[in-house]
Parts: sequence; C-alpha cells; structure tokens
Amino acid sequence: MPYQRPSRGVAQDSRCESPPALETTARDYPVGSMSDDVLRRHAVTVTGDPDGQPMLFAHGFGCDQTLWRFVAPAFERDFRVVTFDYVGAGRSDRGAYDRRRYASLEGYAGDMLAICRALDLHEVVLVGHSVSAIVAILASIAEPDRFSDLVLITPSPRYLDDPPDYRGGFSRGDIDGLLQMLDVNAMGWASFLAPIVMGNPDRPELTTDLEATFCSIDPVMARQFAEVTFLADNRVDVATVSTPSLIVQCANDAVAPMAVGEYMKRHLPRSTMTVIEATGHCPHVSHPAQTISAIREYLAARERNRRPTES
Amino acid sequence: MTSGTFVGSALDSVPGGVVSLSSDLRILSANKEMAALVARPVDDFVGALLDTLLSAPSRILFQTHVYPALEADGRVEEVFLTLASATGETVPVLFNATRSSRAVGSTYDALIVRIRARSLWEADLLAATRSLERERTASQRLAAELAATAEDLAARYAEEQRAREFRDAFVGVISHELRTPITTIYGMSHLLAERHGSMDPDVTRDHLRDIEAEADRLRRLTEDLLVLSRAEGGRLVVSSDPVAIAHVVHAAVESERTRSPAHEFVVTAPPRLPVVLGEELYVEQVVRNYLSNAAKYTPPRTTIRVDLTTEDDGVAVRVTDEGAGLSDESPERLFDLFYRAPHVIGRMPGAGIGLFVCRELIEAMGGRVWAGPATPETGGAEFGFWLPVTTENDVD
Repeated sequence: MPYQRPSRGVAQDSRCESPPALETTARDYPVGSMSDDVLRRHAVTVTGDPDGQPMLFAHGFGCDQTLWRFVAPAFERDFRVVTFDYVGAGRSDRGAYDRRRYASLEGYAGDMLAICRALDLHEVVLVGHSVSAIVAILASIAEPDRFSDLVLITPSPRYLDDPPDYRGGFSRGDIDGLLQMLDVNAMGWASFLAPIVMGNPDRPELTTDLEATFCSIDPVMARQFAEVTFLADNRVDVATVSTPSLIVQCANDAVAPMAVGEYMKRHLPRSTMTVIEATGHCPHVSHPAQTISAIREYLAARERNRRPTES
Repeated sequence: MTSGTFVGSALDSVPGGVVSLSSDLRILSANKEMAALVARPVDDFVGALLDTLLSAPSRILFQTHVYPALEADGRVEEVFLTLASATGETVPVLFNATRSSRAVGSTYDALIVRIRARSLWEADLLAATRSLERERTASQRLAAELAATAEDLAARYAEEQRAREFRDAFVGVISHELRTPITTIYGMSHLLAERHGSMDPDVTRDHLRDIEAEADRLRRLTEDLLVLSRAEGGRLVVSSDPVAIAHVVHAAVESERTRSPAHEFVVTAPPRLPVVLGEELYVEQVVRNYLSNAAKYTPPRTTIRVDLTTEDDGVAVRVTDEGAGLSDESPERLFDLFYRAPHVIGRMPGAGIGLFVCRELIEAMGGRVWAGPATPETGGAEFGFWLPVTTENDVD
C-alpha cells in the first residue's frame, strides 16, 4: 500500500492550518474515549518530576518503549518523562490495532497527540527515534503550539532513492525484500515477532514469552509499519516544521546514512545537528551517554538563547 | 587470535558460520564455514562491519529488529536473514546470537546456519498463505458488496412501503370523504327532480342549501387535495406576492359566517397592518380551513375570534374558539398528514388533510403554523400562523 502524502503546500504557514488527515484519524477512535483508555492502549509510562517540563519519547520501527531505558532515566531529575508503545508493540493493547488508522504515518502522529491530550502535556520536548522522528514532525505540524522542541534521532524523510538528486539508501526491491523477510520471520522463527495472545489458557508459554521478551511486536503491525515507514516520502513535510529541533545523526548508519542526515539539516527549518561517532541506527542503545549529552547540550543552548529575549 | 580466525580452529569443524562481534557489530573473528557462506576468505571481512555481509533488506531488519532485541534480551534465535555472497548469490540463513560470556574481547557471538530446502518450503508456504489472504480479502469485498446491495434493496422496499401506505390511507380517506357529500347531493337532487312540483317551498330551499353546502365541501376538499398531491410530489410552488392579509381574513370570515350562522365571529386587527408575502388564494385557503375547523369542533352559540397582530417582522393570525380545547399532548402532530386527534375519531367526519395542507402552504410561503390551548380564562383552542412582511409600504 503506497503511502499517501497529505495535500499540503510547502510554502504555507503551518500554524494557520490544521492538516485534514490528522483530524480525521483523530476521530477514528470512538467519540468520548477517556484519556485512561489512551494511556492503557499505549501502555504509557510516566516518571520523573511531575512538575517538570514534559519529555515524550517515541520508539521507532522494530521495538518498543523499553529501548529508551538507557536514555530516558537521565532526564527524570529535571523532566516529566513519558514513554509509550505504539499499538501492536510491546505491552500496548494489541486488540486495538486498526489497519485503516495505521495505513499512514498520520495515524501514528494522531496517537502521539492523543497521548499529549490525555496527559494534558504542553511545551513538550518530543524525542522520536527513526520513523518516529518523522511522526514527531507530523505531530508538530498538526499542533505546533504543543511542542517546544523536537529531538530527532537518526531520522530519514525518505528511505528510497529518488534519482538523480536524492539518495535514501534503498531501492524498492530492497524494501520488498524486507517485507518478505518479515513474513518469513512471522511464520514462527523469530521470537520478537511472536503474536502475543494474552491470557490464552491453552498456550501459557505465549504469556511467558511476553514477560520474558523486551522487544516484541505483533507481526501484522510490524509488516504494515514497515510498509508505511519505508515507502513514505515526507520530504515536503520537513520544510514546513516551525518547532526548533535537534538532529542526532550516527557517523556510520546503514539505515539512515550521513547524506540523509545532512539533507535533513539543510531542509528542516530551525534545526541543529549533532553527529555521534557511532556505528548503527540506535545510538540511544549503543551509545546512550553520547546521546544523553547531545540532548542535554542542545536543550541547554536553547535555554541560554531563550533567556535574554524572554525575561 | 591470529588474522581473525579462532585459536586452535576447533570452530572450523562446526557445521555453521560462527562469528564473534564487537559492541559496534564489527567482525572480530570467523570460522571457515562463515567464509564459505559468503564465498570470501576470512581475512577479507574480519574487521569489517557485519552489515557488509548482509543483503540490503537484512541490514534494515538487523538494525531495526535484531540489534535492539539482542541488546534487550541478551540473545536472539532463529532470525531469518539473507547474506550477500561474493558470487552475487543471496544466501538464506538463520541467525542466532548471544551476548558473549567472555570477560574480554568480543561482545556478541553469532551462529549462522544456512537453510536450503527449508527456505523453498517456506517460500511455498508463504505464497499459499498470501493467496489465501487474497481470496479472503476478495470474499470479504464480495460480502460487503452484497451487504450494500441488501441495504439498498431494504431502503427501496421501505420507500415502496411508505408509498403504499400513503396510497392506502389516501384511498380510504378519499372514498369516505367524497362519498358522503356525493350521496347527499345525489339524494337531494333526486328528491327535487322527482317531487319539486309537490314540495313545500321551504323544504325545497333547505334541500337546495344542503346541496350547495355539500358541493362547497367537495370544492374545498378538491382544493386541499390539489395542494396535497403537489406537496407529496415535491411540486408545491407558491408565488411571493404582496397580500393585504386583513382583507383576506375579512372575506373568509364573511363566507364562513353564512356557512355557520349559529357561531359568532369576531375579528380584531390594528388599523394599519403591514403587507405580507404570499399567494392570496392560498392564504385564504388556510384561513378558511382554520375557521371551518373551529366551527366544526365547537358547539353553536360560541364565539370564534380571529386576531391579527404584528410580530417579528411579520403578521400573526390567531383563530381561537371556546370549544373543549385540544386534548392532544403534542398539538403539532395535528398538522401531520392523515393525523386526527384521538377524541374526534369516529365522532366527527374528517380526513386529516386540512391542517397538513395549511402547514405545507404557510411554510412554502416562508411562514410557520402552530396550535395550542387558547387563553386559560376562555378555554378552547388556538390555531395560528405567521407570515413575513414585505419590505414595501404598509396598507390599510
């Protein structure tokens, strides 16, 4: 299923319009659904200083909120730290997975905003890894006043090459291969793709698996998430962001190469980039200390710049 | 450890590729089987990133799923990946890895096993699953189409049903309402034709008056039916002409006075009333229906009042009587087609058409109708309508 880009002009001021795509997805949940439902559906975890500025961490494709456990606690002293699972990942309510809602990244952005509303979060520092960096961008375009900063860890606005000017790093054949690979793994090989049947008395080992496995996602969700993520093209959206942002780029990343990070830096208004001397796509897992200090330094600089004008 | 091979080469006899990896997934050492899997000498890839041995899709899967899972759980088992062999071949393998238990050196140890016939079976199984899913989707779509057709049929049936009910009610009411006056006219005229020579002049006049009254009733019913049929067909068109409403009311009252001599009629109106918008004949038809209703449902020697007032950029006309009043809980229902108040059914003739026609006409002229109790002192009922004024000058 090709990703449908929302019709939105590059030059328009995003503050003056609300993207229709997000509004419709937000209505997809039953009217009057309580904030408790949202928090339960996404297994939302809140720690840190209850009066602190909120910091919302969004996991990427392939794992769940447990991946933040090396980084998020570092901010608990000063921030109200919120982590969550997308529907289908981790301990979310997998029964709430809706193929239509998650047929585009707007559905995921709607989830982010629903969580912000449920917890009444404002001035949010929104930290998104990988595809969630793009989801964060979409959420900030929809409600720019809700977010103070975006922290985009290894983002890519488009994974496919678009010759001659854009190199995302992958061909359509590569992505088809990935989808095929997910299918094969979902047939029962990989434990992290095990469909979890909660409270199934006939197969108690499944519940045990869930408790034993940190990173586990539903295969149906994983496949659609992969399609939506790796076939998306959000280059147009990048240019319309008005929220200040930090791009955290790994020096050697096979999924979001350096050239893609530089593309982001060039086209994302009000952005700063920090390159971590790391290999891989998950610096918050492989290099938590550097990731933490990159975020801290960025936020401190933002604070310094803000003070003379705002006080 | 020399040139990246395992010391003692014991692992070279393991039937599978064995590699040890650094924390950033660089290959520290590999056995001969691993070299065979990618068709490259060990020295060629030791020191390189594991990524370099993987196909592009596997690189994504490894970075997004396998590495996080390995970090989180300390091990991954039976992950299906493909290796990029130096021959250009894509080699399907199962990848297993654990965090190393050794104190120094490698961070992860991985065992990579080639799958041959099994991967073909899996491909077949997968193709079968996919085709099953496609069939299921197709049958679901068919079911949805079927449901939509059924819904459409149900809607059409409901519409048919409504039309049939309307026709039945219409035929029932009409046959009754037409038959009564026609029977009277036929009977009286027959009598007059047979016996007018020998008949007392007073009796003759009475009979003629009866014939006239019944013919008048038929004429009015016909007018109402004409409006009804146009309203039902959505073809009710009224013109928007200036109407001097006081004149219309006076004319209708005079006509009703001769028809119901036992009632007293009182009309009040301010000296100057604004001109309203509408079609004069239809306004008259509404006033006449209100008046004849009032006369029909109230006892003789009671008063029927018609009050005209200026209200909200329009003129309100209220017909009030001194009868038993409205027993109905929701008086607006009286304006519904074929509706008749429970307490008059079987006692008074009527079709349940007149008030419906009044509402249709007044609303088509941009006004509104209402019904309710008259003032508490007098009892009785009030039927009213309101029409908007024109922007033209007032008339008397």
